[in-house]
Amino acid sequence: MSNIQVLIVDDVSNMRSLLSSSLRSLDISTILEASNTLDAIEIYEKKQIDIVFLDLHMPKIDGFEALKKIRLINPKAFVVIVSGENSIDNVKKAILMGAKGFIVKPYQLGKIKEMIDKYHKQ
Amino acid sequence: MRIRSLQNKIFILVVSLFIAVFVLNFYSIIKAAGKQAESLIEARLNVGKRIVLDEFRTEQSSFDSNVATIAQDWGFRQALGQGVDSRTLVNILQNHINRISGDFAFIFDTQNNLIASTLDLPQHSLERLQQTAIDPEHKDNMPLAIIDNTPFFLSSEIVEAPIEIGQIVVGKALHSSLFTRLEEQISLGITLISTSQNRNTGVFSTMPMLIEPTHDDTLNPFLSFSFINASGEGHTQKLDLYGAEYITVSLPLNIVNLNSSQNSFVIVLHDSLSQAMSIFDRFWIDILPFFFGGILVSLLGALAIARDITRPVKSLLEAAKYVANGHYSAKLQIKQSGELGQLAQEFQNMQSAVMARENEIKQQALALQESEKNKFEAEIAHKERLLAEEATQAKSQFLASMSHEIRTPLTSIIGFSETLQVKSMNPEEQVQAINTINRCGTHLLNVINDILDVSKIEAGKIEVEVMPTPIFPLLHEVKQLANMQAHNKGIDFELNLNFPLPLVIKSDPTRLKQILFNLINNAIKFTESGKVSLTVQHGTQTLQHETQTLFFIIQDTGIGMTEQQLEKLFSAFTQADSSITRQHGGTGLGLFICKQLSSLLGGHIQVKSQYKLGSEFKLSLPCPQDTEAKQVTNLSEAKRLSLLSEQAQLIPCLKGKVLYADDNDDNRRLVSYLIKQTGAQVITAENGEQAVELALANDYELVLMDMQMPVMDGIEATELLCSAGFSKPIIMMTANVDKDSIEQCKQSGAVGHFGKPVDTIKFHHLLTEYLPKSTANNHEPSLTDIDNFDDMAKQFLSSLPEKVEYLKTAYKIQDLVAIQDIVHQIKGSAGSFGYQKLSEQAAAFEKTIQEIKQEQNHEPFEFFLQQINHVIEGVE
Repeated sequence: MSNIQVLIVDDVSNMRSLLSSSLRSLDISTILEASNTLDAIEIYEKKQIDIVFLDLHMPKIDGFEALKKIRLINPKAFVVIVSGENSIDNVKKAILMGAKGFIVKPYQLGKIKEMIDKYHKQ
Repeated sequence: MRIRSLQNKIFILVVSLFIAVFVLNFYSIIKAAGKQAESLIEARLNVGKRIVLDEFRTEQSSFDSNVATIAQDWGFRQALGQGVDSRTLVNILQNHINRISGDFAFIFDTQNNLIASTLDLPQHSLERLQQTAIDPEHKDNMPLAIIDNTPFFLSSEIVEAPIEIGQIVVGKALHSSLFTRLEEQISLGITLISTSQNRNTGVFSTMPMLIEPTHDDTLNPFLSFSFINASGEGHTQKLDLYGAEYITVSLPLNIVNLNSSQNSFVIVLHDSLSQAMSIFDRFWIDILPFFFGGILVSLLGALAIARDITRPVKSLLEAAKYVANGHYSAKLQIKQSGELGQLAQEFQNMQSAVMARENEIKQQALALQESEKNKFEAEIAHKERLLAEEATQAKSQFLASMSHEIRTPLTSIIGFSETLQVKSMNPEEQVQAINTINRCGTHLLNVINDILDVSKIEAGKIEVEVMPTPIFPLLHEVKQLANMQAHNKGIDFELNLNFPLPLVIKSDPTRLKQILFNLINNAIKFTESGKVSLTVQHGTQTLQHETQTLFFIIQDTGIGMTEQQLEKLFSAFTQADSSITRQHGGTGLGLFICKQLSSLLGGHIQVKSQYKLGSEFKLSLPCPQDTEAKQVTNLSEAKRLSLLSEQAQLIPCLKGKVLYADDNDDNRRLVSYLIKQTGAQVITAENGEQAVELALANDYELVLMDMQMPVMDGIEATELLCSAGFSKPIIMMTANVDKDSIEQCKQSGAVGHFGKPVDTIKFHHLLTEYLPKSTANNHEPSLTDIDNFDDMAKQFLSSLPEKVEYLKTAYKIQDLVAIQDIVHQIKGSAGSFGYQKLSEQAAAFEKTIQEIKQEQNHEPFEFFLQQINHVIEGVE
């Protein structure tokens, strides 16, 4: 579909695989994965990442903290939250912290596609 | 203070007692002394009297014998017998009386004729003299005669020569020397008084103060003085002489006053009382030191007694104070015998008894406290342990169930997805596997949603919002869903309405619907053949008191339940049998949720079941009979108000899911109805937050968002959704169709806006624009269906009087926000139900609301109320 690099941050490997296969079905070839926030930051600093799919619920350093750190590196970072917790507080917080999208688990492929579309539109 | 007072009192009491006794004694002593003195004087007077009388008698008898000698004198007898002339006789007499120191002499013959006299006396004096001297009665009484204030002894003798020839009477003056001598002898004053008609005239007195001093020793007339009484001879009398008191005694002497026939004489012996009293004075002075000494002793004694009494009392009091303050150790310093000592002893006994008892009580209290505390702690510990056990049990049960509920579908998902990886599967098998995975995933989602519901219920986070709820549209909705599910399962669903039924009840429509959906869903799930029916009827039931109740009875011809199954029916995670889950699916939470929700709505659920024959669930909701609430008696009545029947043909056939967020119940119902008419599904939210949560978690083709909502309004929700990457169209539903509002809609990210009141045709156009078309004709309007729109319109009408009241109240308290809300609602919904004019009026009035306060002009408000009333009365 397009030549973009995507980073998936989730402590659950199954979730990473599922999302990565979804993305592959959308013709995205460069998919990087990180199982924790520190790895994610390292990767984000080194590589040219276009979209980050970020889980909120992670051990030690949670998704909000990761979001904050990524936005410190790149204020215009395109970060999409992927979480099972769709409480309005989480949504509000994520959006206020600069997330570009919020996908609630379990999600349908369409949602991922919508996010990719949104990235291209901006 | 009280001690001092007690001491003073006792002191004063004792002192006064002492003094009283002393004074009484003193008084009686004085009295006795006075009496003694008086009797002494009296005795002296009596002695004096005797001596005086004896002396007088001696004088008298010596004088008598002298006179007798004269009477015996021969020469005298001869001269008298020879009858010599009186002159010679007088001379002879004179010689004789000179010899016996007589002063005068009279001679009477036997016929009592005066023969001769040495003194010239008037005739009457002579007769009295003769009587006194010769009267044999007076012989003993020592006759005295007073002649010209001079007292005389009188003596008479018979002269015989040889025969009786006459009588001689001789007088001898009482010389002052006699009285002086007597006075010396008896130490008493002697006074001779002549009394006449209570007038006393002193004749003679030895008392110097009574007598005018004279140069010779003759008797002198003295000053006259008052005399109370001359009688009572021999008795003592008090006599006041020139201011000095005397005690007197008068002597029984026969005294003849020869000067006057009226006068009598008294010889008075007297003694000065004051003289006697001077002894008294001395006595007084003698006795006075004793008196004062006595008083002093009494004072000291009183003081001693007072101290003796008050000191132990004081100690007692102090000890009592100590005891009162809780010090029992204070020992009493009373070493006394008698009552006070006893009292002190008893007090000490009491003190130690009290001390002992209090210690006992303290210990008992401590022990009691200790045991209570222990008991309490044990109880708490027990309860805590129980609670903890229960909680642990519940938790482990929950976890077990969770694990079971979640693992089961997951197993399928993982298993089937693994098989998918095996390339040998033919396409048909692959489709089947994918379908299974999809179904299991959906089930898993349902499980999780139910779990979330349960946790919300348990956390008390679910709140019911009781409002006037029209039951017919609700039932219609339920029926539509149930019909679909029953149809899929190949069984029948039946809705029985036992009229009359209330048009509107007070309940939470969302929750009621949830309960009914759940119960019917269950019934269909467990019924393989036959039918499921929902019967609605109105009646009474007696709990604490008779209440009007609306019954929803769901009957099925399913597998039924055994008694054991019934017992655990409403507990969380306890489906009758785990095999059932495999067979029928479900989370096992549905009935638990239903039960909790029904009790939140004030009702309850009863179950009857016969194993293998079927079950009956009966939901009872309180439905107080409101006299104004309309009762619908038949189906056709419910249908009559239908305005939409004609438009039914024009309804498009659509599919897909629509999320509709609106806080207004009327609007929610109406729009939901309009969406469902097309065959599309609708999910409703009551505020922006719910809308955001739902929109992100689900897949909707369209979101309809009311602009004004509590908690989070449509604009904010839309903004948030767009920020969160939500890409599906959002339409803003609003009654505000001014430019600013439309601009605001666009800014927020909404793709369009739709003006309220909802025009059905326009709305269906809108839906057609955003929703995919459906080929199935699944919305065929049925005449047997309850006409929802009709009911909704009716409900809108019936809610108007309430709104009027609310408006009036809000207007009265000038709650402009409340007025704005209501008017906005009316503006939004009135037109949708066909009351276009009212909607316009509301819109017009809404613009003037902000001016209400300043203008004090009630006309617009009154006019608006009038318009509402017109609609209510059916004028419009």
